[in-house]
Amino acid sequence: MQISKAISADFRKFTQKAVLFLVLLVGLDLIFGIVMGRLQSKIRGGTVGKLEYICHAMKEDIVIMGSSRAAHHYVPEIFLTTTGHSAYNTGIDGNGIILSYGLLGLIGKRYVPSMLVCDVSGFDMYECPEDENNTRYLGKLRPFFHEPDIRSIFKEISYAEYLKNHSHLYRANGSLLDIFNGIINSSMGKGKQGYLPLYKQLKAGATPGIKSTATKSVDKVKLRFLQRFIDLAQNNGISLVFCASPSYSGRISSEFYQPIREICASRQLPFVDFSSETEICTDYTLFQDGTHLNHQGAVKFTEALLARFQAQGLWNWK
Amino acid sequence: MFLNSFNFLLTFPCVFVLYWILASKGNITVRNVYLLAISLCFYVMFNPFFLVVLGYVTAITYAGGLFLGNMSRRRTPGWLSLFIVLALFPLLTFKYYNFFVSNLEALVPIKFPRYSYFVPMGISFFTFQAVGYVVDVYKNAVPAEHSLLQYSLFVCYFPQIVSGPISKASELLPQLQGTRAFSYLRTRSGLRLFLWGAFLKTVLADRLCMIVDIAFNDQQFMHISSLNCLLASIAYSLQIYCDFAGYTYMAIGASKLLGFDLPDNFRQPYFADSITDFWRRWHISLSRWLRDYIYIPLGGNRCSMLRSHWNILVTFLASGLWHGANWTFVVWGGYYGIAQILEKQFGWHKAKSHGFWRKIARMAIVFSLVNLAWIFFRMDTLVNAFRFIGRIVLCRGRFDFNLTGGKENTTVLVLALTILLFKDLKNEYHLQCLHWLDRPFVRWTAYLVLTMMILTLGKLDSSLFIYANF
Repeated sequence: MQISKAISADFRKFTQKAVLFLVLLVGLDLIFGIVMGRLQSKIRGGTVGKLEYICHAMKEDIVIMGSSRAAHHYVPEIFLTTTGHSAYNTGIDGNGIILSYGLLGLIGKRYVPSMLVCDVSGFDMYECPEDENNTRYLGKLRPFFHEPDIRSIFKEISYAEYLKNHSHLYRANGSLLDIFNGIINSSMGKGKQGYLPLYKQLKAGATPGIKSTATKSVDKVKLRFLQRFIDLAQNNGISLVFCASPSYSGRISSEFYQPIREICASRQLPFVDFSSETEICTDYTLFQDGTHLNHQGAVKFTEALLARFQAQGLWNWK
Repeated sequence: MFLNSFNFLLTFPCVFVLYWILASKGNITVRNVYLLAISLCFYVMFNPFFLVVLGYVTAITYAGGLFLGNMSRRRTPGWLSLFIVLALFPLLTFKYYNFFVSNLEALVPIKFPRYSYFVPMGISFFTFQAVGYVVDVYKNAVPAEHSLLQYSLFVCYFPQIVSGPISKASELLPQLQGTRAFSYLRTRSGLRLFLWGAFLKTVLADRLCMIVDIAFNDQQFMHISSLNCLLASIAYSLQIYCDFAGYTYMAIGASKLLGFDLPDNFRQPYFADSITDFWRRWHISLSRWLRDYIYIPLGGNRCSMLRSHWNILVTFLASGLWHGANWTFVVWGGYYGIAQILEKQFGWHKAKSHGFWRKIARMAIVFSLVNLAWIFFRMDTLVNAFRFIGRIVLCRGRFDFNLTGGKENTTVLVLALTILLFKDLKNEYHLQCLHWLDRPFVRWTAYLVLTMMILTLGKLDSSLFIYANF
C-alpha cells in the first residue's frame, strides 16, 4: 500500500513537472512566434527577405519563377530595357513548382502580374532521390504557414509537416540565422531584382555528366501542382511561358523536358526550349558549372530568350 | 521506427502512459506482452521481412539456451558451436555472403551468384546479444530463460534493437522478470538523456554530416583542398561520436522512461590518453562483448606475450568485420589491434601523464590516431582511403569556406560543439567551477534552450543513424 502510494506520488510529481515544462515551452513558442513575426515583416535581406518582398511588396509586371537556374539565368534589367516592363526574379535554390504555386497564390492576393516566365527543372516534374521527399519544398513556405492557402499545401504534401508547423519554433527551422543575417545585411542574397549573378567560369575541357531521365520517374504530386499552377495563372489572365534554360554540353538534355512539353501541348501553352541551343550550350566561358550560367551567359541567354519571345509573338512590345 | 522520427515522438507518450497503467496493475506477463508487441510493431515498420530474421535468431537462441541449460554437466563445446553457427547464419548470409564470394572469386576461377537485398536493421546488434546469452547459459553465468515471452523481449526490446547498447542477459533479463516501480528520478534522468541524445543527433551529427559528405562522397575529395579534407575528417570523427552517442542516449533514455536500465556505451571517448583507454570509453558494450566472448576464450592475457598479442589482433579484426563486410573495416580493426599491441609492448597505456600540457598532448595524439582510423571506416574502398590521406598530407589547394556548409552551419556547429565540450568536461573532471550548472533554474533553462535549439537549429529529417547500417 505504501509502495503504491509512493509510486503514485512519484507519478504525480512527474506529471506536474512535465506539464509545467510543456506550458513553459508552449509559452516560449508563442513569444518566439510573435518576435519572429515582427522581425520577418522588417527583414529585407536573405532568402526570407526576398520571399517577404515577393509576397508582400512585389509589384513588377513580369515575374520569373523557378529554381537556382531561374535565379542565376534571367536578368530582370534586360527585361526592363528590352520590353519596358519591370521584372522580378523569384527563383530560389533547390525549389520548384510546389514553392512557385504557393508564392503565386500569395502574390495573386495583392495584384496580378502580366506575365509569368517559369524556368522548368527536375524539381517541377520528377520524383525526389530515394532519401528525400516533397517535404523538402515546404521549407521556404514555413514563414507563411499562417496563410490558409499555404496550410492547405502543407496538409496535402505531408500531414506530419502540417502538424509540426503549428510550432513557431519549428517554423523557424532552417531560416532562423537567415533572418538574423537578413536584418543585419539588407542587401544579402537579394541580388538585383532577385537575380543572383554568378561570376566564376567553367574550366576549359570540362566534361559534366549527363542528367539521364532513364532512372527518373515522373512525380504525380508535382504534376498535380503544375496543373493547378497553370489553372491559377490562366484564371487570373496571366500570360504563362515555360522555358528550359541552357546547360553546358547538353548536361540536361531536351528529352528531360518531355513531361512539361506534353503538358504545354495539351494546355496550349508556349514552351521555349534552350536546352540544345548550341551557341550557348557549347561555350564553356558562359557557364559557372554544368547546370548554371555565369553572369555573362545569363545576359546572353536573357537577350536570346526575349528575341525568341518576340519572334514567336509571345510578347509584342515594339 | 527510429527514435529520432516524428512518428516515434508522437506515439511514445501514448506508449509510455499505457505502459505505466499496465505496469501499475502488477501483472508482469501483460506488461511484457505489451512491450513485446510495441517492440515488434516498431521493428516491422522498417520492413516486414526483417521480422522473419529476428524471429529466427530469437527462436534458435531460445532453444539453444533451453537445450544447453537442460544438459547441465553433459554439455559439450560442440553443441554450443552448433547453436552459435545457427544463430550467426542470417548475419553471415545477409551481411557477409557477397563480400566472401567476391574475395573467393579473386582466388578461384569460379563465378558465384550474387544477391542484392537489404541487411535486416540492427542484425549485428541483436545477433550478438542473443549469442552472448547462449554462451552465458553454457558457462552457467545465467540460468536458461524458460519464458519465451521474456526471452523474446530481451532480444527484441525496441530501444536497443537497432543500434544497441548490447546488453548482457544478466543485466536485462532479471529486470524483465520483475516488477518495475515508477520512479520520478529514473524518469527524469531518462528524459534528460533522451533530450541530450536528440540534441547530439539533430543539431550536431546531422549538421557535421554536411561537411563530411561533401568531401567523402563520390571521390569529391580529389577536387577540394587538403585543409578542407582534414576538416572533413575531423568533422567525421565528431559526427560519428555525436550520431552514435546520440542514439545511445536516446535509447537508454527511452528505456529508463519504461523503468529499465541499459548499459552505458560512452564515456567521453575523445578525452582518452591512449588507444587502450579509447576502447574503454568508446562503444563500451561491444568492447565488453568482444572481451568476454572472443578475447578471454582465446586466452586473454593469461598466456604468452606473443599469444596475448595475437588474441588482441584477432579480437580487433573481428570488431572490424562486425562493423561491415569491407576490407576498409578489416584494416580499421587491424589498425587498432596493432596500436594496442604496441601500447602494451612499450607500456604506453600505463604511463601516467603528469601535467596539464602533457595530458593535452597525449589526448591530441590519440585523437589524431583515432581520426586517421575513421578515414578507413568512412571510405568505400581502401584505395580511396589512402588517396584521401594522401590528399591531406600533400597540402594542396586553397581552403574553401563554403564547403563547411556556409556561415549558418558553422555558427550553429561552433555553438553546439561548445555546449558538448562543456558537458563532456563536466562529466570527465567533475569540475567544481561548473557545479552551478546543477542548480534547478539553470537545469530548467538548459532543458528549454536545448529543446528550442533542436526545434530551430536541428536537422529534423529523421535521418538514419550511422550505426543502424551495422
